[in-house]
Formats: sequence, structure tokens, C-alpha cells
Amino acid sequence: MNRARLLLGSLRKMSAMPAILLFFALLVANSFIMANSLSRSFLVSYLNNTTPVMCIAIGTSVVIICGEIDISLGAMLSVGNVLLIKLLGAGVPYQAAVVLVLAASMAMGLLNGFLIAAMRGSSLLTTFATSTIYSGLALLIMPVPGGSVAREMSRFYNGSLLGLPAAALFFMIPYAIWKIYKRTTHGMRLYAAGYDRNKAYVSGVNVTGEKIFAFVFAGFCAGMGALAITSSLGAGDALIGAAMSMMAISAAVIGGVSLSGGYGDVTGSLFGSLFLGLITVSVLSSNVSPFVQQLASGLILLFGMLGAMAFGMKSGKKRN
Amino acid sequence: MLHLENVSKTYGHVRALEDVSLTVNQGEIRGILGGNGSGKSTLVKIAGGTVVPDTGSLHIAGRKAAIKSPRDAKRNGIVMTSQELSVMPNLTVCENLMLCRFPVRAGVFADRRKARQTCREMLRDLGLEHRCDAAVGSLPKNELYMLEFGKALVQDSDILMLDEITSALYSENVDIVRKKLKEYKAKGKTVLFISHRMDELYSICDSVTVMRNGEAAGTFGIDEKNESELLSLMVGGDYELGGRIESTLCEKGGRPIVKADRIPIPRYGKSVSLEIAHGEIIGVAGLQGHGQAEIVRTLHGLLGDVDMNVEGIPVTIRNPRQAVEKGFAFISGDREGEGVFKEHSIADNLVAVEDLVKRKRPGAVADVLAAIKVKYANIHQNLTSLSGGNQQKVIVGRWTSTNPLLILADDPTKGIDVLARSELHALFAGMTKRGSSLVMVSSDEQELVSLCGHSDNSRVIVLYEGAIVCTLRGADITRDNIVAATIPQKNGALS
Repeated sequence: MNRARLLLGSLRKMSAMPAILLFFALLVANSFIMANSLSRSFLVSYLNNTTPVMCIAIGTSVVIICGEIDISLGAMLSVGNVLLIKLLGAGVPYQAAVVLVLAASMAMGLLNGFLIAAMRGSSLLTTFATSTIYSGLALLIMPVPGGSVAREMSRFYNGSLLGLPAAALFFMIPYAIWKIYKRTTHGMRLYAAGYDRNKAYVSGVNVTGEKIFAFVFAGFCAGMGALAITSSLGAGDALIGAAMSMMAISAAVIGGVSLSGGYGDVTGSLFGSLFLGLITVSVLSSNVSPFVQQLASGLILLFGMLGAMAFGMKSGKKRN
Repeated sequence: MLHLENVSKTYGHVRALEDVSLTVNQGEIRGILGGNGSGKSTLVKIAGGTVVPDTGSLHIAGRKAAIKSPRDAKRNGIVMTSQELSVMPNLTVCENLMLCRFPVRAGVFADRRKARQTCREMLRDLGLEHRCDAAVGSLPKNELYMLEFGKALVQDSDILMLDEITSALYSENVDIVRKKLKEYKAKGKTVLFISHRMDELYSICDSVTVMRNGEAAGTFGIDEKNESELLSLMVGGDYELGGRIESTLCEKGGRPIVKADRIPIPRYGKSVSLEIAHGEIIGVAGLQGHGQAEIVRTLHGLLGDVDMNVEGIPVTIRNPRQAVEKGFAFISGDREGEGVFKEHSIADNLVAVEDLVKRKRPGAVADVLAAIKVKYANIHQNLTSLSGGNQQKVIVGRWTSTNPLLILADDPTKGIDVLARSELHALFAGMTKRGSSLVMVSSDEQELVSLCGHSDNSRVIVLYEGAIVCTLRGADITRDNIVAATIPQKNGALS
């Protein structure tokens, strides 16, 4: 009894908890509306569709934890998408194309990191500017959607790995890298830099270094997202990632990452993305008139948020 | 060991340091004494790498060292504590304490077990072992300062610089700091110790450097000068210590303006009753965390609803907004958390309450600043560009200009030099003469003695475990009496 209460208490303290609960609540609610919504085939296709956003949400969360924001990840994903298709179209072997796309994404992240951490640019303005640049770049590479992906890639993406959907690998790789990073001494330094750059600086933390890491890592995540979405759709579209930046940031916040920096973790963001993805799927498949769909998604999101806030408040006084 | 040569630093138009040279020997504890804005902090910040000097050089053990960042300083064996504190609430106590030197295993991974062990030992030495698993955000102010001290100590540097680390500490904490510093010195290490408390300088330091207006006014062995001589050097003129007006024992009281029967002290499950008379000064003393802060904070509506009688009318104050409407003022010693609006000008900070809360047209900013003797260049300059003491004067000015009925002050002179402190006391006393009442908590007993010396209508209440155990008036208000009352007697009997 006492132990159960202790367990409940520590679960409540987890910043990811509201997002996890929201996700499962919606999943259960959804099963009443949609007959097959708990079937394996539904869950796999839903995971395949949500994976790109999950990748970006991981990157965006780390940047936010580090006290900055990155709204250019969606545009980076678009660049990765069209670049991959173009490279494959030009006859580059897919292994090499994958490496090039990841390298290009990390280079874009490095540019963000350099401008913000070293040149002290405002992260919102800087990534807004680079986001426009990256979108423009994507359009330049491929003005008209099209192309096709290597068969191996789409087969791998839609297949399974050790009994699990292989798509999961795409977000599990960045997730694992972050978890390892967090266990080094850099992990706590990144949190310190995110909470207060001056306090971290006088404590001898290499604030610039931590921030650059966060942006380059976010670039890597966008690259993984690009690989996922390209394998999933099998085509290139320069506008594919446009709406994803905001969605990933929302997912992070739902997942308990504080926008002021220094608090939260990516686990919550993953569930936040799953929750957001499920809203879209539920509304699309619930025979609601297309004109009401957007309104309905917004309302579900708002009520979910209120529920999460009530949960957060119950778990005791929030640390400022 | 540490040698600074001809160091100068200018912030905008304000000259913070002018051609200062300083040599500290190995195994020496050097005190640094000076008024607010005299350049003490700038001096240690230069050695600590957070401020880059305009001119001058720094030598360590005879070798010139280029220090451009705190990391450079740490590489050169220099560690400093900051006045603003560098502990962060999003990290655990252990992570905070060990952040600068976290043990690693396999080359990169954080070795939490080892860190925890070191942390536990350090906390035990600091008398904080019960805080090993606490959330940093829940620690009281003095423990945060002890944590900052431990964070510096644990790095085991050759040169340790402490910038007003004792300003929020109670005497039992200071005893620990003193003991640890003596141990540190015995290991052949060098310490720079900044404090405004004279008794600490005398009991901790081997020598003292006096700073005045950005210049070094001289360095002396600690036995060479007495207290008044040092203060005279600090102000650059004669200074008479103990300007206290002898007051006779009196029970004047006067008409009560605020009467609160039940001020809860939840930590002890008790409550305190307090009657505050018109124009009265009430000093609140006690050991750390025995309910002193709760009294002023509750009255200001910061800790939930509280019932009281204000000028004969029963009211319930639910939040600070209502308290301000009733004419209460709240001055906190936690400048960063509850005082300044960072990134705003002096003028904005000064008129904040009148303009934003009371919706009155604020008075002339320059006049108020002149009345409270703030040193500044321009009222539109950023408040945080002023020294800590001057910032606090602006905060006090913010409230004095509202003509408050009751001033509630929670250790308001934390980190303020002796002179500015007595100016603030005079300011408070002047306001009580004009009809405000004052309830002030202080961790420094001597401060309460000199504050109460300003008025006949004053008393000191001493708290112990959430109850008022002693009330002192008039000539009974002495440091010895207060200290005696704060420390529990063995047989439980308190005078």
C-alpha cells in the first residue's frame, strides 16, 4: 500500500507522465470509435507515419532543454528528403546517399549552432531565417514533387526488425544517442547551460560547446526524419516538412520539456508526438466532415492539454 | 602565489578598478574589505575569469597567466564563488555540488556512485547531510550559500576566492566555513575572503586589503588595525563605530496598526501572534529557519491566507497584491529572485510598485535616488549594472516612495557594506518617524542592535522552533542578549 503510493508519487514526478497518459487515454478512446484501431496493422502504419515527427521532436527537445529553440528542423527534413531522392535519381548507391543526407543535415544544424551559440544570435530569429533558407534550398533542388526511392529502403522501413516495426529504428537511434550523451558528464552540463547560461559559464561549463552539440544533434535528428519520411512515401516533396517544426515543438512541450530550458526529457516528447499523430489519425478516420476536422483536432489537443495541466498541478507545487 | 599587477577595469563611464596591484602569499587567508562598488567583486571576478580587465596582468606562482574565462581560471587553479550563486534548481544537490569536477568512469560516463559518495562527505562536513536527496529549489537561502561554498571547496583548487559567501549565513554556518577555511589553509592553499562582517574578517583572515573607490587603500596584517581604523580607511575619513543612541527601557507601544493573532509557522505546527504599533521597529532574530521568514512572508500574503486586524478593521490577506493595497511593503534580501527586474532600467525598477500596482503617477526618480544616496550614472542604465548594494537601495527606494503603513523586510541588507547598511537603517528609521512601522528579519544580530538603536519605540523578538521565546526592549537589546536567547539552553529554560 505504502509502496504503491510511493511508486505513484515518483510516477507523478516524471515530466513525461502527462504525455504518456494522454497518449494511452486517446488510444483507448479511439478504440471505441474505430473497430480495428488496436490491431497490429493499424498500429504499425500509424507508427510509420508518426516516426518522422518523433525524430524531429527528439532534436527539438534537446535544443529546448539547452535553452534555445529551433524552428528550422521541418525545413531541414525537406532538404534531406529532396536531396535523398535526387541523389538516388542520379544513380548514387543508397548507402552513400544516406550518409550524405545525414552529413548535410548535420551541416545545417552546425550552421544554426554556430550562428546562435558562437555569434550569439537569437535562436528564434536565426532559425526562422535559416528555416526560410533551407525551404528555399529544398525548392531549388526539387521544384516539383516526384522521384522514387530505392526499393531496399522502403522494404526495410515497412518491414520488421526483431519482431518490431523497423520504422522504430529511425527514432530509436537518435533516442539512444541522447540517452548515452545524458549519462556522460556533458548531460548535466547541457541541462545547466539550458537553465542559466551565466551560472553554467561561471561553473566552468563550455556553454557554446553544449549549444552547438544540441543544434548539430537536432540536425542529425532531422536527417533521420528525412530518411524515414522518404522511405515511407517513396517520393520527394520540398514542402513535406513545413508543418513539422511546430508540431515537434508542441510535442516537446506536451512531453514536459520546459520552454524556458533546463527541464524535461525526450521520452515525454516521443509520447507527445504519438499523441499528436493519433489526433490526426482519429479525426481523419472518424467520418467527420473535412471542414470540421481541423476544429476537432484543435479541441482534442486543448482538452488534452488542460487534462495534463490538472495532472501536473496535482503532483504538487511545480518547481519554478 | 597570486599576484595582480596594475589592473584596471571600466564599465561604461564607471571606473570599477583603477591600477590595483595585489599580492597574496601561499597559505594565506586574505580578507577584502570595502564599500559597495569599491571594486572588491570586480577584483575577484578578474582573477576568476568572469571579467576581463582593460589593462594589467595576472601572475600565478610567478608565472604570467592568461585568464579569459572561468574555465581558464580553473585550469590555473583558481576557483571562485559568485555572489549571485551558481547553483541551479534543475540539477540535483549532488550534480550541483560536483558539476565542476564530476567524476568519470570509462573516460566519459558520469560516475554517479562516486560523485554521491564525495557529495555525502562534503555535505556532512557542511552540516547538510540531511539534504543529500533534497530538491535544490526547496533549500533555504543559507543552505544554498553553503552549497555554493561546498561546490567551490570540492574542486580543491590552489586559490579559492569567496565573494560574500557568508552574507546569508547564520553563525553556526559561519563556524563551519571558518573551520573549513582553516583546514584549507593548513593544506598550503590560498584564500581570498570578501565579507562585510568585521568579526568574520578578524576570526578568519590573516591579513586584510581595504578597497576604496576602485583602488587598494592598503593591506595590513589582521592585528595591525582595529575595527574603526579599518572602517576609516574604507570610507577615507574618520569613522566612529557604534553611533547607537542609548535608549532607555520603555513600554511606549503606541496605537496598534496591525494585529495578527495567528501567523502560522507550519514547520513547527505552531502559530505566532504579533501586534505592531504605529511607528514601531520590530527586529526578528533567531537561528536559521525557526520561523522568522514565515512571519514577514505570511503578513505579506506570500504563504497563503492570513487573518489580521489592520487599523482596527478585520481583513484577510490572500496574496501580496492585497497586502500592497493595505499599504504593506515587502523588501527581500533575495535580490535576484524577489527584488530586481533584470534587463530593466533603474527608473523602471524604482517606480515598479507605484506605477504597476498602485497605478499612481510616480514621483521624480532623480529626487528619490538622491534621497537614498544611490551611486549611478544615468537613470536609464540597466539596474544590474549597479553594485549589489546600490541595487538594493533602489529596491528600498521603490517601497519608501509609496509611504507604506508597514514595511516587512526579510534580511534586506544581505550583501550590503557597513556604510550602506547604516544608511539603510537611517532610511528605515526616518520612515518610522514619519509613521510607517517596520518588521525586519536579520541573520545578523549586530544589525538588529544598531537598527533598534535608532528609535525608542523598538523591540527585538527572538524565535525558537516557531515560537517567540524572548522579547527585548531598550537597553536590553544587545548582541549578547539576542544570541543567548536564540541558542536553546540545556535545561530548556529560556530567559
